[in-house]
Amino acid sequence: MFNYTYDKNGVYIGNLSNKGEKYGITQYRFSHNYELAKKSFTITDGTTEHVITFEDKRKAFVDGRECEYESLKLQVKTYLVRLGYDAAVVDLQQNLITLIRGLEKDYFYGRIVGAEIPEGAAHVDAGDTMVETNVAWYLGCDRFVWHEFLDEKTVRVKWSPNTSSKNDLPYKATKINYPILLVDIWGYGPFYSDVPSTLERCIFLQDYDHMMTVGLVYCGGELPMMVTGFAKYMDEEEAFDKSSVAGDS
Amino acid sequence: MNLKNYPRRKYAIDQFTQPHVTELEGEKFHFVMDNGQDYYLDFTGEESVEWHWDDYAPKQASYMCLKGDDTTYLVSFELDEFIDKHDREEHFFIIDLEQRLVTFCRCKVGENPKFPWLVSSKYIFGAIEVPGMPLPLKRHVFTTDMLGTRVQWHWNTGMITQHSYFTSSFYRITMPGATYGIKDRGEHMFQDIPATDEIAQYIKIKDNLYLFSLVEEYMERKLYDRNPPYRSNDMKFLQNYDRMYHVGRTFGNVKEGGFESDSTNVVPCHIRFGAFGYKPDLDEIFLNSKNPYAP
Repeated sequence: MFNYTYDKNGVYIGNLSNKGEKYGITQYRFSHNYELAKKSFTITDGTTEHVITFEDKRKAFVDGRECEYESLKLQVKTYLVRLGYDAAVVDLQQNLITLIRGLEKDYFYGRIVGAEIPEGAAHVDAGDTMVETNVAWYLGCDRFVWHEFLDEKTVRVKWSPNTSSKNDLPYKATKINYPILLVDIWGYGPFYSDVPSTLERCIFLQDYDHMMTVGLVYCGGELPMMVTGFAKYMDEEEAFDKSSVAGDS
Repeated sequence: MNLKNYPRRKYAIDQFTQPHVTELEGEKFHFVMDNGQDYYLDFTGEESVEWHWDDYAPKQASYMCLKGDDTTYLVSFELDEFIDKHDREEHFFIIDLEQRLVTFCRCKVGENPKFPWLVSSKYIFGAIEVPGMPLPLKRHVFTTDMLGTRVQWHWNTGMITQHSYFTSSFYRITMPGATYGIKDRGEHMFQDIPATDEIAQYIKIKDNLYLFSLVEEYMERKLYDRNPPYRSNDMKFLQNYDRMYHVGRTFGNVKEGGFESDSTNVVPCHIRFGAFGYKPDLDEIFLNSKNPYAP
């Protein structure tokens, strides 16, 4: 797919960017982040408590049960963590942790015990915040998932390259630290697309300021895959913004 | 609301930047450098670092840090003593924990009397001393591995550039859909082929992980008569061709208000950036134009 180039004698001229296809939808996954290592959090929703302990860079305990984990950092103190089959949004900006157990639909919205919670801080249902949002997340070279949020409960999902297949699926959105939102979409993947057809669920932590996402893709009972992506507006012609140069920052 | 319309600030090369990494906090490094000196780096906080050469007294600085892969860090800080002066100075590192190697670069404004905003840079390679382990003989090295690479970088939702790494001393840049050879300089600078060749260095950190570095120099020389003042940035990209993204930082100066503003004021610039790689779409004229700056 890349533009292979040969010299006049037919010898291939190497191009490192030709290596950019090997990981499928996990291609752009950020480096693992180890800032949570050696930290332990007791979280409560007022009635129940859970304890999450990150023993080192790879091993964690959830209520004493050992699991391996991987953590991706989306914002300065905001992480999406895969804890075995579970997931957690660790928001140390607000000292809140949302825990998602396996394939359960209900979340545990926890506050870190002993930490100061800023006034008004909460991980809460996002209501109609997402409605009308139309964005594609590029997770790898030419591999994307396109979301059109039709109403508070339904999102139209298209996976590359099979964008003619439109799946209207149920979703749940949670405000983490606006404009950072957690989007949880249930449903299958279309055949002949870049996502396994055994797809069950996608949990994306999305930053609508920087327009990047980190996520978990659950397929067929396997360990969820961690992904990273950048946003592209599919309803816009791709262009170079001529007023944007390095100097503007 | 369509969150595309979220009232975000205008981003340029820093929208897709990865967040500052703080996991080196508490780590202390002793770098044995190939210039015969030792460099000591103590990450005293999430943003604070203490540094010194040899037996000199330690100094404080505020650092930025990004990860190129799970064990390779890009660290950059300005020296406090020069921060509000013309001749700002930056210390830049690639700290490679997997191979116990380090690349250091000292970047400095103001060493060229004719172009006082030009950023000069000097590399020193070295190794990380770890008690009980032999010092590695291997080093990060200048490389030709990247030559031939053509890649598209997505910096934000509206900004894409395309690079061609065609010689070991220069790189060439354009944007998708450019129409080349336009003489009317009212068009964008990246269309002024072959004027966009720029001085570059290529350093191999490990397979599929390279430090690509450029200095905004020749384009500025060409343009500053009609778009003064002359200013310059040193941009360093830690490029991961395994995952197809890069992280980096730019150090230097920019025109107040951006390149196309009427201002003649120059303001300091030292920011993180990042971009995602993609397949290139490059015109023959772009790939084959002669480099006007080399014999």
